[in-house]
Amino acid sequence: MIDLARYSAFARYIGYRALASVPTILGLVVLTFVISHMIPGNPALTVIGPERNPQELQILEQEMGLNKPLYIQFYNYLAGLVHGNLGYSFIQQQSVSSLVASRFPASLELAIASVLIGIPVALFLGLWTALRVNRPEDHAVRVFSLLGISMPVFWVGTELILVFYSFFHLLPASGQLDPALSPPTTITGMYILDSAFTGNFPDLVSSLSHIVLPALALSIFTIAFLSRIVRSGMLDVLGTDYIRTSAAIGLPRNVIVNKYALRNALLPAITVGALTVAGLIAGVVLTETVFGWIGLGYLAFQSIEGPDYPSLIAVVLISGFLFVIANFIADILYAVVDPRVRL
Amino acid sequence: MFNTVSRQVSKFESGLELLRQLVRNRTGLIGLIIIAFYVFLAIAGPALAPYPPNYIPSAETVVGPSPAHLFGTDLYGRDILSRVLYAARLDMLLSLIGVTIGFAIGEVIGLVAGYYGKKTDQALMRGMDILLAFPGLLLAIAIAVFLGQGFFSIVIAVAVVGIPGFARITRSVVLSTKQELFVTGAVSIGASRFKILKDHIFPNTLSPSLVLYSISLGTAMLVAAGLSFLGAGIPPPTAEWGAMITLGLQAYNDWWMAVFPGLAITGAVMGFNMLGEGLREAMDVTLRR
Repeated sequence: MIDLARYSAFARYIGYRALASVPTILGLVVLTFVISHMIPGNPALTVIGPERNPQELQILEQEMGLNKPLYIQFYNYLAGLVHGNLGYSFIQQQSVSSLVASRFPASLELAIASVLIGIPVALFLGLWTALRVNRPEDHAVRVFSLLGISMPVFWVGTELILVFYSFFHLLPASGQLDPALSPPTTITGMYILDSAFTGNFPDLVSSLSHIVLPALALSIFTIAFLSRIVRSGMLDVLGTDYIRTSAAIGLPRNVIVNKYALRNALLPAITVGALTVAGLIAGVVLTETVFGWIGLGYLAFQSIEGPDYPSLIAVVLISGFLFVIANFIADILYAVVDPRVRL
Repeated sequence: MFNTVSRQVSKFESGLELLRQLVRNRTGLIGLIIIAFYVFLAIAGPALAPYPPNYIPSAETVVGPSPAHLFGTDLYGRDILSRVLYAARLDMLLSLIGVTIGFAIGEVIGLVAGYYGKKTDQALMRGMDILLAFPGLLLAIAIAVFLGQGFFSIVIAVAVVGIPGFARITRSVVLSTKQELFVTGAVSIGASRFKILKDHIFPNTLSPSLVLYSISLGTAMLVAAGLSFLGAGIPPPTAEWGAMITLGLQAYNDWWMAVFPGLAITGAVMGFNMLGEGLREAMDVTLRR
């Protein structure tokens, strides 16, 4: 029998959480709108360049809707967003939404790779040190994690290039693919997946070797940050009465750890999961810049120099949006692991 | 309850007892020593530097670490040790001023939101949620780019990123302190709202904020260096650790160019993190007594 009441309570919880993120997303849009209106000077002027003709300028201002009242401008901005219109980048000579669409898969690929390295290692280190409190290995991991949250990620990336490219010639320093190769047929936009799907072996090897260093650089923060949370979560649980009771009645240690303790120990890790995502997004911008990884983060870096305001605003807005979604998913996961939350 | 809380307030007001607790804690002590060293560098760095930061020798070019240039020279032949030393003052000031502004504004917002509650609270904290909904670095980039390159743009960017954290933590302390007997007592003898906030609630918010303050100084340093690395921070040729790493990345066969400024940042951030952790542990001990 399916427990309908339980499922509907869960559905209500998800619905409530989703509704709660709406004002935040609206706030993000308002804030980015406000920031984009803080641009010193006339946006039409930056588009048209210094050798303008007053008449052309006026026409452009009209086209850009700059002579309309602010609330109408905001409405147009919002309506554009809903239709996926993020504006036009005059510096990149294309619409921002097509830029974002072409850059997003690369960033996603990098983020997934770093999470695939980061989360297992963080879980392992956290649980391992929790079971070995105050032994030398615990202290070693503690120092590593302190270093991991204190090192600038762009410096870590630079040093990885120095060691693995300059000294040992093991791995490539930048880019996503050997320049001599042509990119695989686009299916997902992620080189590793696409080359695997199309059976393009040289591309697969090349794209895998290119992702190692940036993914590693990016995963260090996740490992350092998450392993401490997992460790303290595990220690808290191991100190509880029900664990002591299960030990007292003679349950094997691995049953206690794996069946009873683990689930509760991971709760705090899920709550900070969203924070890790924020670190990841910031890390992606810096890491992509170091490794010439042409994703959304690299777009942010490129847009600083112009400055290419529409692209920059788009990346900032998207990163905020992703962060809100990450928070939402963390809330849901939390409810899955801890049924008390749903009530 | 009355006694414990008022004792705790007076203890941290003196500051000396907190320092004693901090020194007894190994992590806190190491953090304190590291930060003291950096403060010394920030003050005396320029005096200790063997060369002016932007001095470009006519004959010398890129050289590795040697007696004449302990940390080597950069792409333009500038002495890296001198630049690291000069940048200490700049980077420390950037995060100190930025975080202090963020702390001050966040503290006021948290006090007002927590104490007045209702719609004021709703409006203020909703705003904080929106600021928190951006990953810090991205928000900082946007602010720094729209304000234009320079010292004060970074300071403002760092401050804005810091505000919501301080507001949240202050508000939560206010909410719990508001219920305490000594506040009810103050209300009953007719103390004004401002006086209650200033004398009875505000001091209690300081200790949790202090932990966040220390950790934020480290985070701010990473943000400031990251902004300069991306080209949205301190413009060249000013010596700044993050910008120095950018130069090092352009010449990654010359290992010394990126290593030393990176070590400088890592050391400072580690110091602030350890100090923060030490403060947290030191204050927990006093609370448990």
